[in-house]
Amino acid sequence: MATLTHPAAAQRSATPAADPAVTFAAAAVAVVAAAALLAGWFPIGFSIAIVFLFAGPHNWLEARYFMTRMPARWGRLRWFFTLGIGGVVGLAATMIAIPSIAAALGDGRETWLVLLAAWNSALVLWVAALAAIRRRQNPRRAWPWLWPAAFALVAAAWLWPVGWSIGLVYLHPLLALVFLDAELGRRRPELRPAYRACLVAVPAALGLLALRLGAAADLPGTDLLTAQITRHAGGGVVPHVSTHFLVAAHTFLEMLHYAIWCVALPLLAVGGRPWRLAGVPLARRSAAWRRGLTAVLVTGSLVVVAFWAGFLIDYPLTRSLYFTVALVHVLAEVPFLLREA
Amino acid sequence: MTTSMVRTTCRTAIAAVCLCLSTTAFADIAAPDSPAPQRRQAVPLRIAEHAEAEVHRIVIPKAVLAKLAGDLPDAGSIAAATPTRSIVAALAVSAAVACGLVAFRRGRVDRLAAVVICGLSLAGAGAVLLGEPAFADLALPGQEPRRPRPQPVVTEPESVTLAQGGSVILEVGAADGDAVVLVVGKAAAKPK
Repeated sequence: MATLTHPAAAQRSATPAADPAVTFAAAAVAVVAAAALLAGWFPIGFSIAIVFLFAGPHNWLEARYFMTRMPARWGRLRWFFTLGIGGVVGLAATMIAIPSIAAALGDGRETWLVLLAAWNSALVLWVAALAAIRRRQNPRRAWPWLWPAAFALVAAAWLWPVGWSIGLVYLHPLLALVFLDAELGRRRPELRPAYRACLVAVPAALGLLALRLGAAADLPGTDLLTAQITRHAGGGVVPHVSTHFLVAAHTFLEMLHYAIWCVALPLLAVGGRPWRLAGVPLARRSAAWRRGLTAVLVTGSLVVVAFWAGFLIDYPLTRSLYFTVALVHVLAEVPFLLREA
Repeated sequence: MTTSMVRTTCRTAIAAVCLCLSTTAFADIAAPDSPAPQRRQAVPLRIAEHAEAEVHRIVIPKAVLAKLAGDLPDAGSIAAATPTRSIVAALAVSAAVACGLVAFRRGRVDRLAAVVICGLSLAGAGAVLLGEPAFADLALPGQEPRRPRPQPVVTEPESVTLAQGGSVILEVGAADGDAVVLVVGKAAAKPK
């Protein structure tokens, strides 16, 4: 029996569907290009805007993602997660206490540097200890260079404590790229080659920013907020490099970090309704766990709203407070990153 | 290259690294009985007014700061890693080398990796001995910029009235010059 087809429908069916990998790559490159352009043109304004908009929510979404990745029962990962959580709490508390410790010890420049170096060393040894636990669980992870590399990093932390800390500031946003790579490999492996090809755009954008702004005039602003943002990016610490480039580069990387945690990973791993705990293994453990996780998410939402209010009332103070508290999420990424290895 | 040759090369390299680092660990300890003389210096002062600045700033040119730092009795401790930090760093490098050696002896590291690691260690030790990285944690005063960069324009003053007290931001200027610049922010809040 002959069938009649509407001409428009026939035309639609004849049009080939866009390759998801191409669409994904185009979107990724567009995000990288837009972030680099905005960070290069309006470094301070862009930094203020993205921290206001995404700083709080990305922490909430990151916590929600970690809930998804945390197994319901730890089993042979018990020591790994115990050391991981203990390290996050201990290192964050120590970092917050460093100003008080330095004041008690005399507050000299050298005191600060020694405390900073000691904290950085503790961080390295904590990461190495977690990696050593992971190494024992699978022969595939031989990692013979683990301890030599860890001690070499400790040495660098004591020789160049300030430079080491600035390195961490720039390294942290890049970790999101690794999480996205792992998640793509797990859920959309067909997109992974395109994603890895797109990663070239990141150093390319940084290179262009360096070429364009590396020798530019320092940022002219003299207000407290500009000084705060500039100092965070390494201004006054990194010699011979324009603060315009430093802030632009850091803001660019932060934007990529926020884009991955607020858009890409929730869409891939968490789903369209992140407040629902359907895919969280821990929530299936018992009703008490489910209530506890719900309480964490609700409290987190209130904190996000409180940060927005704080940014509106006193942006510089809230920014300082945020980046102190945000250390927790920086540290929390480490155990989950090692789980991907 | 046989396995024994590789091992001998690695051991020699490791011993050389340890020797090099043991010398740098104590390299910046001040010689006894050699106090640096303390001098007072007159430095030219220029006063500039910035219409939009919300804080007052004192900009010290790098050359001036380096000269002042050079006259301080503990100038070495400002620029260099102190003995405490140097010793801990040297111990950490020794631990790294020892761990590398243990891994190598257990056969976990193949020959090529061992040679690469030793080469990198030697290169790192050489860089440390050659000076700048060991004594140049970032923001080392007195370092000449490779390329001069234009600086934000500061308007010249018509008249300046300094309030009593208040706060001021001290910063090291990237531009060369021999005068300390006091930038008076007109938009700065007056001290209560």
